[in-house]
Amino acid sequence: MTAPEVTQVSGTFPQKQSRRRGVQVGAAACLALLLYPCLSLQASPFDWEGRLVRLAVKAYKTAARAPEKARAAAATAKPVSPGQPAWQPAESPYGVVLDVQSLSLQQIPQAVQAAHQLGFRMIRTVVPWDEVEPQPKRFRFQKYDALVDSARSCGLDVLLTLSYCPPWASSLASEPAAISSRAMPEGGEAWSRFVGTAVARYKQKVRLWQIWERLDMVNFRGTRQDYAVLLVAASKAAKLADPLAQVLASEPGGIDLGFIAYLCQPPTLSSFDAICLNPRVDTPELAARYLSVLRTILQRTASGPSKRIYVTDWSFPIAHDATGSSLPLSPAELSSFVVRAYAVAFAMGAERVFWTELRDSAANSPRGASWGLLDEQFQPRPAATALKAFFDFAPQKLSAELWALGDTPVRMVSLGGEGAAGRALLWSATGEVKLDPTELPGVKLGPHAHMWALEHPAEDDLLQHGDAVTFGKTPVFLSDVELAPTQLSKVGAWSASSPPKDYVYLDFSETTSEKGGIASSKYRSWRAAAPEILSVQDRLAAKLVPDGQTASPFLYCDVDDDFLFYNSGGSPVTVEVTASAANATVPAGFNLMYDSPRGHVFSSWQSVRPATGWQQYVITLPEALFANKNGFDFRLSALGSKQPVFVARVVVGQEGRPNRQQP
Amino acid sequence: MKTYARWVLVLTVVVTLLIAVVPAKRAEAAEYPQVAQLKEFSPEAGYMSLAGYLRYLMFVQDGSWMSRAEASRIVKQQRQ
Repeated sequence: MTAPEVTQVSGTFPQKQSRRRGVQVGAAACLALLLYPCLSLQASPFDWEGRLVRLAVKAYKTAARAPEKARAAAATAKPVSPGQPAWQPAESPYGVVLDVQSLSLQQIPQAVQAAHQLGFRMIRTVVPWDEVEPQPKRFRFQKYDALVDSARSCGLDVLLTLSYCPPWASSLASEPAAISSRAMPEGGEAWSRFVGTAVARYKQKVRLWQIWERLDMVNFRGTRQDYAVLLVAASKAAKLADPLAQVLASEPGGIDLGFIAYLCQPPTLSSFDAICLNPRVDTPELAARYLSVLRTILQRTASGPSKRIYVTDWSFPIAHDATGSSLPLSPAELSSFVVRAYAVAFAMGAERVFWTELRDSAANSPRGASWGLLDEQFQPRPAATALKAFFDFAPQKLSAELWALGDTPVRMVSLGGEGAAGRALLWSATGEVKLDPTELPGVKLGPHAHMWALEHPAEDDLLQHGDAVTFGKTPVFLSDVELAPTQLSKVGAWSASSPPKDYVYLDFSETTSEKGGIASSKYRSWRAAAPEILSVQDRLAAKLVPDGQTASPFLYCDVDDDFLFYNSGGSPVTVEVTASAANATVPAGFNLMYDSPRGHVFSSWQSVRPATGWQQYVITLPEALFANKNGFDFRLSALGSKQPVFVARVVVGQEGRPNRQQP
Repeated sequence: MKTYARWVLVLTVVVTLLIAVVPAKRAEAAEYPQVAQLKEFSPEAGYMSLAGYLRYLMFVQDGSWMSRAEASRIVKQQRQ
């Protein structure tokens, strides 16, 4: 364990809020004092006026004392003395998230015990700073004490996620609690003190500390520079309190590769030991591409010990549409999903994986979603039973690899590790396929080979039937197999099965308009993103109307990942848009918002020559990343146009690739 | 007049308390778009200020409006 480095970051904690809050409160107090004689209200049983004035005066005095309190609240975490015995965690990869806030103090041991019985060896929970320290230096750790003690008594490890800001420390204290608690802390002292206090409290009991919950807008109202400041400060405080503490960085969700690449450079590079992921893919197999690229990023940038990958929140994808709903899955689909999720994550290099929720509750099931493995009465759902079967089948210390079997859609995760040699899971990535198990490409069955379906008892050996086996989304377990890697392709450096394309396109005049490699229709349920498709000048086109309130100025596009994915350092991308506008006397135009290493950025404004028919406009994007940030690659916007813009065709190419133009 | 003024005062306090305690709608966006590179009140910013444009973009993504103070802070941060 190396000593924590002292690093500098370009950003800082917000500092001016105290003064601003003081001014606001002072103004309110003055206003109340001014209003009082003007209103000349008679005394009432409630004495509203008197109460208001007293409240304002008290608030002003509190604000005036705030800077003194902040100075007095310096970080108090004490460094540990050297020579303390290293705590050894269980090193099991199987984890689950437990929403401690939704449980009573008495229910916590019950939940921990239930997790243990399901085969989990790790529990992650969020420690909300705003709940734990509602007032400066007044801590309420009772629930987390109970969790840590219960977990240790069962032999479970704990990962604690420090997140959310109390109102008294928030840089947006005047906002509603749902916003202020997600804002950056004001100044760094209180945040560092909280981190140091929590880490010191659980020293030698908890080693894994995630810094803030998933960084989407639900949980974090700051920029990536803000998070860098938070992370560096937390890392220093945590390692000061416990040199054995492992600091885990978060990402905004969806395995945001551009954001993670940002963290993997100074000064944040030296401030974390592992990256925490929240995959949001429709099927677990789709995460393999992200994890493959992520490993490349981590290997390329790791200057010391390589960063580890933890999937700390594997959940279903949440639709980025106006409803924000989750995908509805049946119990059988959920069972299949969770087993494949764990298997794929381990195969792609994740060291620990946590399902998003152990138990359903009203608090953690937004919009009626049921993601828990247990119901509210702690009774296991089918997915819990399926996952237990996987844990029993796979070793506690496992290695895994993901394979494609020849040109079939069957995917296989081969397991390694103590007592698990020759074991594998197989399923079909797309639809159902019927294959003779003795003729699976690259798979040689041993004399004691045994195959059974996840939803059936292990005694029901599919190989005994002598028939072809139908492989679907639900995995089958297979034991005593040998692999012939020459007939297998490892799913890692993902390669397309079809020849590489020179360009991809979207043409509304084609009956199957999205066969060209750019998808758009899947975004039509998104807000302001359902342009009317109509015939204009003998072509079908999308009508982008520059009125964000009632119409659709946007056209979202998703470029086929086999064509372009995480174009970091690659050649510039060109987007050719065939567009027109009708009114010759009114300006028209559009621009693009696209995924880049800096997040979503904008192209220059492209004017459209009105009343000149269909014209091609080429925009070059020098830093296009196209790694599906927020679920799309780029978005055309006619919001700044003075009249509707019609778009008939979009072609995406890349400089250096031949024949970008259509044949 | 006195009764009217009293009710205005009471109403103001009630509305303020309601705004303070009602939670904002869930948001799903992952990061703020980099609007600081745009020229405000131009077509590329929808003829809005950068903070206003950011507020609109975040409404499109999340369905809830961020405050002007928060948007201004983000734009300022992006300019650094």
